[in-house]
Amino acid sequence: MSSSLEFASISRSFGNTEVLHQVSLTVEPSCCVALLGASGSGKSTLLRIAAGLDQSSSGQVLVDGENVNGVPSEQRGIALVFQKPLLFPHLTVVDNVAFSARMAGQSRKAARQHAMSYLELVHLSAVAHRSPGRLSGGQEQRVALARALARNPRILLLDEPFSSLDSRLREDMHLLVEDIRTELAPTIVLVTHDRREASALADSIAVLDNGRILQHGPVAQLHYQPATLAVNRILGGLNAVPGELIGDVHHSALGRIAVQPGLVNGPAFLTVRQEAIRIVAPGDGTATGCVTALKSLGAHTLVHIALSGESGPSETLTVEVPGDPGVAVGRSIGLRPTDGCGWAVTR
Amino acid sequence: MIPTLQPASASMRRTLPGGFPMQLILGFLLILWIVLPMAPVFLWSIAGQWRAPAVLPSSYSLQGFSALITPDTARAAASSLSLGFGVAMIATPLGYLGAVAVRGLPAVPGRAVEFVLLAPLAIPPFALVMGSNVALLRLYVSPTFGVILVLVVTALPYTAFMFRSALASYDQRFEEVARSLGASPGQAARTVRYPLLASAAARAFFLAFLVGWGDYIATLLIGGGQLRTLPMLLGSAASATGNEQLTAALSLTIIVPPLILLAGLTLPARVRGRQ
Repeated sequence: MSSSLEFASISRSFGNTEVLHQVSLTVEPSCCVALLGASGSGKSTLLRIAAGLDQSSSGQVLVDGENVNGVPSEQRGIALVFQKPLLFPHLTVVDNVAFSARMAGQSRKAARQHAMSYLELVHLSAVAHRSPGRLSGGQEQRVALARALARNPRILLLDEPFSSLDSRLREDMHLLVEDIRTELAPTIVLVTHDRREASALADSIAVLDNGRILQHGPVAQLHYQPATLAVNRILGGLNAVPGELIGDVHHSALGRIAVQPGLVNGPAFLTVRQEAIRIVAPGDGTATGCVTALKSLGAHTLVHIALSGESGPSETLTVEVPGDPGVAVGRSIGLRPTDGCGWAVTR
Repeated sequence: MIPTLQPASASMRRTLPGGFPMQLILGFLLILWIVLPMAPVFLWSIAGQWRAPAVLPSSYSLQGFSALITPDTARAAASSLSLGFGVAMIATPLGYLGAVAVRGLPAVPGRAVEFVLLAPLAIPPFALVMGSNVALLRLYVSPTFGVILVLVVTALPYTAFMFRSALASYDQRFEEVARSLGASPGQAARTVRYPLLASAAARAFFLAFLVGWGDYIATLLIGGGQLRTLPMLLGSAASATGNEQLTAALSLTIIVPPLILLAGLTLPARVRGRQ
């Protein structure tokens, strides 16, 4: 059973410091929303408020439209998985997973039977009778996930649960979350500072910065249509070219690029993803520039370019290309946005 | 310029020079340091006759132990046990509550409570007993209860310190996880917090038991002779001459119960840890 979760104007202050400011966000049943933000942006506090482990200074948390402010954590039907697995060291793996059933008054035998099906879901039934101290980091996090799911929560909250795992284990865990979503379809709120993880797991991303939600939308929208420069930066966008907006066309050192309609004429930044610019021969693109540096990312390379303005080099731009870019530092090149249009922001 | 890391000098090394053999030797010396003073006591307890300058007794006997099998000794042992358990059963939960208060309070009041909890360590037992004895007499407090009351104060710093250390490394989020898994605050405490603090509680209980079990001064002065414990018997035996066997046998008898209690409290936890 999955439920909707809604934060309605949630604020939280610690002394004079406001950690969350009027945060409003809706998570539909069976959907996965990633709360993306830097450390200290307030995303974990928001999760703790949803779980009932912290109280908001103002605002409401609604589950299926019902205000759960003041409802004790254990009665909310919301399970939380922390960054640390926090498996109870005095219980075996199966008893950890059986914990919620035991708290609900089930017999030890029935609780363990229930737990075993969730351990099978995370492919760890073979280690059911081990002590948590004898598990690897990835296994511990799988058990923590199984333990939370065994609660049959209406909503599952994941607070950076995979950030301490290495990249391969993290990918395994992403696959596991996909399996869980297919099988159980829980409503998930995932807190992460990793935009790739947010993009891989979530249906939509809410960007949180300094306690405010800057933008909430589908993954592609946040990458290619950021609401602000901060969203562009948090989503890993490396380019924000200053220029002038005149009649839905952005004029800058990158040339004249058509942007979304509806903006007021005046100064604006063109946010164009580094993956969405193609290097072409000088004269074939909307702008020309000189390669200033190359940075290998393994299978991809970042090419840093100084754009040529009317009075010499003005702005820098970064382009990400697969494999060898085929250009050298100091070489003059042409640049062209892949789809011929861009996205402008004014702040 | 980034300075290069210099190789660690001998004084900077965190491990002992000499490696494992040196650790073995030092460990052996440590055991000797603890056990060696017990050797003469043990020899005296089974000595039939032992005159200077002989290194070992000239004859052996269990007369010292057989002299202990009297109703008086049994009553003293029962009183000592009651005192030890009484002090431990009051000082352990009080120490826990004190440590929880220190942890929960802001820095300055927390330190003030910590100071109060540890203050009895700085007060000489004789001064503490003499100071409180008059008050206890005026309040008509029974000698046994008075002794327990004073010894609880003496034991409190140890129990509070044990729980303070345990709580410092205890992750409060264990209980938050338990709550989000459906446990009420009481269930979270019973099923998560107390089991995780059990070994600290066992150590605190043991230390508090020792305070009551081995006390002499408070029992003598506040008990006023009405409370006869094993240390009181030992004191009487040691003050007389020619009682070396009995004194030594009584000393060993006083040592054994705490060791059994210590083994009972610590070994099961170690076995569980290995499993």
